[in-house]
Amino acid sequence: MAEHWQRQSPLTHLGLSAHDKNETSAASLVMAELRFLAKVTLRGRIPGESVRTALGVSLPGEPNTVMTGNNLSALWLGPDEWLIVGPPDAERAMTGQLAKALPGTAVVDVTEGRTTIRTRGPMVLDILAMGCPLDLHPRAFGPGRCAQSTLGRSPIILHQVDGAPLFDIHVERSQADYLWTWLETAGRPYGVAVEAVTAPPAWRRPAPRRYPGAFPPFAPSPSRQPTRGATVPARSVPSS
Amino acid sequence: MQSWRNSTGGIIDRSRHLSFTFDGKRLSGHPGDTLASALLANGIHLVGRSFKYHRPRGIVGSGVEEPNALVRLGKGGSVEPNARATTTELFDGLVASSQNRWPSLAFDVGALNSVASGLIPAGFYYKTFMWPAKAWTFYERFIRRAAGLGQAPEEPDPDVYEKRYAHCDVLVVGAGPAGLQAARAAARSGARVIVADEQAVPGGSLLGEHVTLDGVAGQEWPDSVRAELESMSDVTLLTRTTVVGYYNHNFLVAVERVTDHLPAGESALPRQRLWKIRARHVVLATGAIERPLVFPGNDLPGVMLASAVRAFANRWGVRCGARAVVFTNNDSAYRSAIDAADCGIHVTTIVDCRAAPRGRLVEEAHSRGIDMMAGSAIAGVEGRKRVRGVAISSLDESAPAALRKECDLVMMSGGWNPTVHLASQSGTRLAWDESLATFVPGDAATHQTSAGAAAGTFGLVECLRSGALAGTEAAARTGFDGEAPAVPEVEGDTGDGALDLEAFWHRPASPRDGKAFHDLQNDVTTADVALATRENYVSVEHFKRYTTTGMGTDQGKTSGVNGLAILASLRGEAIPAVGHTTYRPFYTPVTIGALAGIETNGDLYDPVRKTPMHTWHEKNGAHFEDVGQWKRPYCYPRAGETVDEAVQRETLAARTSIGILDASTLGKIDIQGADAAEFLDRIYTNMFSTLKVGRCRYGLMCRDDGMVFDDGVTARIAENRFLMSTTTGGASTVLNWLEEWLQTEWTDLEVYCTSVTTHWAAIAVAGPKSRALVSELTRADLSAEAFPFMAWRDADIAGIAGRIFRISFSGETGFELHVPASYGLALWRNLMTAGEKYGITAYGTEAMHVLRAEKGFIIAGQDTDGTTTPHDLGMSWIVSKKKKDFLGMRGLSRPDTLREDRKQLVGLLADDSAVVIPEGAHVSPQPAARPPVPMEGWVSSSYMSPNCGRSIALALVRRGHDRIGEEVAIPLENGIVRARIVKPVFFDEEGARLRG
Repeated sequence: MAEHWQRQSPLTHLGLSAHDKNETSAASLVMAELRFLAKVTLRGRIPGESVRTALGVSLPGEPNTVMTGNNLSALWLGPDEWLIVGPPDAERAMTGQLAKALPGTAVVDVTEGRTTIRTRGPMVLDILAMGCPLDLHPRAFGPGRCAQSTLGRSPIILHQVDGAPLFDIHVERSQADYLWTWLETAGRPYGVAVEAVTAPPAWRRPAPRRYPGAFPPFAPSPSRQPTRGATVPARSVPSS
Repeated sequence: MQSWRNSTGGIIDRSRHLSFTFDGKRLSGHPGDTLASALLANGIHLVGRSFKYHRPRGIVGSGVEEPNALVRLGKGGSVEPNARATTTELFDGLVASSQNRWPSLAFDVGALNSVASGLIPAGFYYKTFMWPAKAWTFYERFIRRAAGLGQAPEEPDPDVYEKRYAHCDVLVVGAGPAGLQAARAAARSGARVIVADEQAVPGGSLLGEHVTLDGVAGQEWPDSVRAELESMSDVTLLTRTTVVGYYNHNFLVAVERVTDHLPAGESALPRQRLWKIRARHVVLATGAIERPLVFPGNDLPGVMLASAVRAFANRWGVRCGARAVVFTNNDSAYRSAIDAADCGIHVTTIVDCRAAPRGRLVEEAHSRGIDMMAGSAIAGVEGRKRVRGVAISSLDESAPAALRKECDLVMMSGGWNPTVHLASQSGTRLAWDESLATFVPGDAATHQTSAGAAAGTFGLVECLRSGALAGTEAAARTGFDGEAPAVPEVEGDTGDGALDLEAFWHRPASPRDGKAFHDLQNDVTTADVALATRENYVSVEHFKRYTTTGMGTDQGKTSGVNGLAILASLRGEAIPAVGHTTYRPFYTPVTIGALAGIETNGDLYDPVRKTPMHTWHEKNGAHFEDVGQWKRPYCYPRAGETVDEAVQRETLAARTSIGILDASTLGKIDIQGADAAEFLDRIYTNMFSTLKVGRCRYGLMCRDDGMVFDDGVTARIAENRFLMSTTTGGASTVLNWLEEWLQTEWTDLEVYCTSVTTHWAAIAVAGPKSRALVSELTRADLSAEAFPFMAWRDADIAGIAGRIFRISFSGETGFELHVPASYGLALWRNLMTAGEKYGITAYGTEAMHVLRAEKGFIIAGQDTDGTTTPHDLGMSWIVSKKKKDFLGMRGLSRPDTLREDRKQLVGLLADDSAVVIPEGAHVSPQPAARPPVPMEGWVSSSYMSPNCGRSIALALVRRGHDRIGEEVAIPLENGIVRARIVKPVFFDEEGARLRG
């Protein structure tokens, strides 16, 4: 039977190990892989409130913005397209909730199609500017903004998480290796470090409505995989 | 010894010495020097040989305009040819050498060209070497060696480069007086500003002036502006940065020389950085370049631009000669003459073309004891490798013969040309200014303002004012209001006021006087212009190419206007009527490495896409092939096995035990919505609305012209949900195709497509033992009754929630297993372990190709070429006759697609079963006809089939379906292969294995 440790992110094979605090604080670019974040695509004409009720996060209506709530981020990708990103292993419960709440809407689990590279550091804007044609200056972008663009030669979904600034780069799984190498190479003259990132807390369905008849009560599906640890270590699991 | 360096003056650090070599000779200079100023301080004027005639050439200018002083820098792979000595910053250990000379700079064999110059006039290469035609390849070798300048390095470039994007409200190009004022104005308004200047420090022309601004020395004032700009967070000041290209919508490209001024290995930073800047408004404060005068012998070392002599004196404390004669047609040369005299050069004479020059500067020059010769011109220059004297004659024909003056330096000024290159690149038309006798920017074609000397305003005070206004206006245009900064109080000679210029282009001279060059870099003389005119190359664009005026690495910075003016005078027309050639990027040469950036690193040249099982393939010796950006295993050769042997082994294993293939790269598209079934009915040629949930169907899609475009199996996941698979290479094209129809034509359909290609890892398990193996890993009932061919189901596979599809591209009993991608490797390993007892064999794409060819299954793009219909493939069964419409339906009813003599897919068996016919080979009738042999078709797929025990091939042959059994000939390079047309299926025609 497949064991939990056999689950492999596209960067697992690089055997990345986290640098210590001194190194990460000296680096101009600090990178981490956020593995196995749950990702669900929503397509359709979706009533505003329904997603908030089902998941606890609202869908942004303004193009290229992100709404957060209940440990989820909802990214506007197109006039009828959103990406909802959540903690590892939440995808099944999320798709289940959405499918029930939004009949007729296309709900697709795309968790495995991308991995996430989190970048921060004093030169993160300069290094992203080396491959991303977008204007990421605070006057033009900023926390809570997202965009579909390219970095180097890879298509990416870029999400500015905070004003530090910290960016999550959702990259196509098959190109993760390329993009990681690209970032490392671009940042090399200035100093790059790898860090471990604590995984966001597990996702829970929103508290049920107090009035009757809103939505059927939520029943969690049986866990597909053994329970995962509380952190996402940036170092690799030894592969056999 | 820097015997030509003054002990004071200039902005160099005399306390430190930098050692460098030129042609192997060890010399010294100071921080702040350019290679040119250091060479001149050491008394070296002769720095190169000219392009065509190999004439001795010296330093002419002091900056980017330099046409002559092109040197080779560095060693090995880091060599840079054609570097301008005038813009090369000196550093300790700099290695420079002269170019285009053999065996040495002082004695150059190529100088014989000068003797033979009558044989090589403009355009000689269009006229000579024409006969016999074949001999050109012989001549070319010698011409290539004799012509040209520097040599490109032969080793790989060891340097690192970088590229980046940047955005701003206001981009200021040039940080001279106008640019600094513009930047200050824009920055104070709160706009995001980028200022780019090509020099190491901001200041531009101020660095060579003796003035004070608000009481601060002109050479120091830029530092105070720099400090102010650098204190603002949204202002970027880039030095050593040349804006080289101005493209549509205010997109500009600049090259920053990050570490070129440092000794090798001193910095880990990239050598150069390419900036791709999007600016909302651009201020062009690019300055002006002094125009040379055209007179016989004007190319001899020691003939320099007057402003360059002044700059070398004021900025670098260098005397460019001992005795100077000035030749001018305007007032600005008087400023240069005065400063040269102050620097210690004995300026003996000012030769002025104007009949009666007057004014303050004239009087001041006079008061320093400089002789004035008005209404005169230099008629010739004496000397072999350096100026030794000049002949001066009156412009009045009746005046007595020439007068000789001894000198080692000629300072010339023909006026000033605003640097309009970028404005012109952006589409701004240039206007002729009669009083300046040059082109100035006309109405801006885009969000752009020219300021200062670039706009034809040459005085310092006027430049400061014009810059401040331009910066304020630029900021206001982008929504930032502010007051224009005050113009500093300037004391000293500001150069304001009219140039009082009288155009002087050239004087007809006899060949005995020597060559008069208007283009020094390309060795073009007035005689060449005359020749071009005689031969009717009078259009300015023809003239440029015929004479090569304005070509080469300097792109005519000093030669352009003179060339046009001479052409105009010979045509007897006004200069504006002649016009000017188009300015194009780049303003200065750009190293290829800077354009490539970090992509020079081979791993980053193009993304390599890897499947979840990639590391297993690598560890198991996979021989990879590129499929688009994907790396797919082609086969897995074992120790001592050739690639062909591995393919044979793998192909056989899939039909005798179990083969396992990584199919993760196949495109997968999730299609959902109330109209999903209707949508697929329109996209595919066959029917999908009748497909039951839990079942799959093979589909073929055509373009609207009826030609096969892609194929694959689509499964019905739910009533309104399908999973479409596409070919690996076609995945994104198909998704775009679907979106195009949904978004532009069928907007009424409610259908959503989402790529899930990489969400799933896909493994094809094929072969007679495959059911036994897969059954070990799942509780699902996989018997043929419960789970027939073309069914699919959700299942736990080795504990992983996934899907099993009963589909097969090999023609064997087969299963395709889909699990979430991060479990792909785990499942693969599980299968390999569990399958060991059955002799499980991983197979690659080539075995997959052989297996499908044995069954006659097509590959879209290999057995089709964009002119192939489903009927041509013998797949009429897949074209629905019930549907009202689908993409390609009308195309399939065109007379051309109904022709009976179309090329149709058939099988081919070579008479000799050991011969594998090359793919792409032509098929011709048997017996082989005499040439021209009719081409009846071509071989699309061809393999050695271990399961058939012989070679097999697929081919598209004219009227092929009616020719089964016919003998054909395959003419090859070394003989004719005879073959027979057969049905395109070679193995298990009934499909018993597939369904079993």
